[in-house]
Amino acid sequence: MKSRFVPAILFLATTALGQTRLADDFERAALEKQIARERDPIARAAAHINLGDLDANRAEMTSARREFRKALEIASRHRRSARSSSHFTDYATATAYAALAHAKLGERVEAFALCEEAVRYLSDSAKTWNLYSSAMLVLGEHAKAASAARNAIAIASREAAESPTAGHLLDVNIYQYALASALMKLDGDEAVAVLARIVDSLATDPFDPIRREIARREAFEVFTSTRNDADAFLALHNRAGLRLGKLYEERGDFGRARAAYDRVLALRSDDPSALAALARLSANVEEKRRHYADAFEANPFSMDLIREYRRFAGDAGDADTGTATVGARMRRALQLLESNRRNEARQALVDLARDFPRNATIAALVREAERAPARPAILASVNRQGIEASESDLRAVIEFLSDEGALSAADRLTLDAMTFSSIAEFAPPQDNAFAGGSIGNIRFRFQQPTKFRGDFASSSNLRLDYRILGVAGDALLLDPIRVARP
Amino acid sequence: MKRILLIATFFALPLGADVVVSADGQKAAVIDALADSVVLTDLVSGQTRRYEVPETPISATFAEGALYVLSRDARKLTRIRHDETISVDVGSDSTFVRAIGNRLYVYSRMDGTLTEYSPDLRLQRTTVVGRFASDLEVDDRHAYLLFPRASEIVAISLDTFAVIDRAAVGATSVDLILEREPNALSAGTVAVADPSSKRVWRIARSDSTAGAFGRAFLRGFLGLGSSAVSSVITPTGVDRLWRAGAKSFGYDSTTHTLYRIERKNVRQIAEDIDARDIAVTPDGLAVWRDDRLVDLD
Repeated sequence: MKSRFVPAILFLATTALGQTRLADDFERAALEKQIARERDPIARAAAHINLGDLDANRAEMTSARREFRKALEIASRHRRSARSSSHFTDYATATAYAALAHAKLGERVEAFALCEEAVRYLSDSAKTWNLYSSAMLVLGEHAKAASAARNAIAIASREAAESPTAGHLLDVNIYQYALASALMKLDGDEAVAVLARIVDSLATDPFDPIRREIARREAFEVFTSTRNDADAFLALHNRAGLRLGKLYEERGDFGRARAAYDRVLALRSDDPSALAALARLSANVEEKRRHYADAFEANPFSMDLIREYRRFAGDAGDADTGTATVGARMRRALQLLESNRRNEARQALVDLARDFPRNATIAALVREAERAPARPAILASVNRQGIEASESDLRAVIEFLSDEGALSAADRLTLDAMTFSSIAEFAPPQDNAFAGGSIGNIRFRFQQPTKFRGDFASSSNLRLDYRILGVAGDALLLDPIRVARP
Repeated sequence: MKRILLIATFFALPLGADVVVSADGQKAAVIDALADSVVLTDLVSGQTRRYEVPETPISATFAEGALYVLSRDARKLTRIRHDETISVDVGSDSTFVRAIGNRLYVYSRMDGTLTEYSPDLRLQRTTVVGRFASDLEVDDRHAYLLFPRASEIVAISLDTFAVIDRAAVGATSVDLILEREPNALSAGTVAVADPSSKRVWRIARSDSTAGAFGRAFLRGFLGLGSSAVSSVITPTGVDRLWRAGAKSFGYDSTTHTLYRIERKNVRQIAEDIDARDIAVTPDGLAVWRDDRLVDLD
């Protein structure tokens, strides 16, 4: 591996924003192969850090820490070896990697001390300052990260001015990205300006050969670990564009935000974060559904995507997702959660957990689905007669009644004293007796078929006044009081 | 002269902090570069006071009754005196602040400049000296900067404020101290830690205005023999040097070994010791253990 790419790899890795699961698996396999065959300790340490970042992105934190610890061991061993053989450039580089590994493990004091040690020897190295910046960013020390990034940029810019190759210019842009990342929490205006400069710079002529190489290889996958200029260019283009779009969104500049995301998708059409962003920005519900479906196909376990989709599903209601893919199954499970159909949601999530047993995101959702349901708001109604119950209210009641032990004696008395009123669609009566039907998407039935005074046989939609007796499966068991035409 | 570290037993040292002590031994400042704070302690009364300082206080010195703190990432030099705090802007990646007499010197690693300030932080002079030095020391005539990449010391005349001499020293030299202050018999020496060759080099300083180093050093370096240059071999590569009173100490950051560096010998005095726990007292070295100082040497 070219040593120039190692720090670029690490920096972009720390800011990965959700790549495809297929890409994750492929990349993991590639990194594991690299570790097995690589002799250079620096490259091996970097690969372990990249693996740790991949695991962290999948919310597999135990594995992530194990990888970071391995990186630290390798870097520390190489420090000692380089020092005893008086190879001080290697020593300083290994020290910087050990610092980053400490930072990934949350070991602040050790990370800072080793960063300072590294720059004692190599304060003229842009790569070393970039590693310093990465370590500080991981620790949340944004001002320190920004300062270190500026040093890297200053050094790399001089090198690029002397020799303006695509490689040198790419390095400058990578370090600019590090600066922008640090500035996100310090100075949003400057962060936007820096990211816009990067995106514009990547479109300039010196990078034509790289773009042609990308097109020639038909390589559009964005990897966390980059192996050459084309990979680094793609990763940077992707990350910078997504960050820029997010910043524009936060500022309400939706036109520029869409343009930034479109630019990302122009080079990589299935980027999950860009697709989710376009879903967010879409005014049209069907267009949102389509973008979310594409985003879930790209990365079904992104917590950010899941949170966004749940807000959308809560407002937009259910839609048929199918169950052919993991993304579709996740969306279905989330829709069930949002519509308070906990039993069904739990089953769907348990099925997913069987296929992905180490996935922390699924495990967290299963725990949520298994939690005792909240007491339905409707039980707190002051008015207890003729309560207009919505579909969502009735779902909450079903969940509540389905959970053994949730319903207290007092709640039972309260429920028994309440009467409700809803527009119901009845199943065709048998001998003028109605057995059940649905209120919205909620099925109900009576304890026994019931005849009502009046001629209702020809009508299916009627106003039903009722009491809630309990649940039968996923249907409500009702005690009808009267029916009337709506 | 580089004066370092902690004397007091009055307070707990934050993990990772450094300590600076005043020349009269009456005040100490605990500098926490990660937390961006300084705790100033009166070692006589035991009173302490905490100050928030700009980002990354990386170097500090006492002078003219005040504490001067260099905040690298904020690019600020701050003077703390009683209740008054003032700050001025400094150059990019300013890493060292040293005081001599009533002057302060700040080195900017990225700009490659040495800047002189008055005690009230008014800029007096700036000169270009070279980027990426790893250490700065000053005596009353010269400032010395050490460049590890070239393994070279550069001397700047404090009269003319210009570079007047250079000397290649060792293979990868990273730290220096000034030993043996100039007197009637000798101009004093510069000691340089060279972990690559596992030596501490000693170079005579010059009392001539024509150069900073004894001319004999050059002859010595060319192998012609001289009393102006000498070295001692260290068992492991010493990369940090400290001066405490009339004694010199060296430290290996990778093996955590502390040595006493004598004129012709090197003596190990502690191992498995963290540099951050080491305290320099007027009489020698001590280590910070369980909130107490324990003599080492």
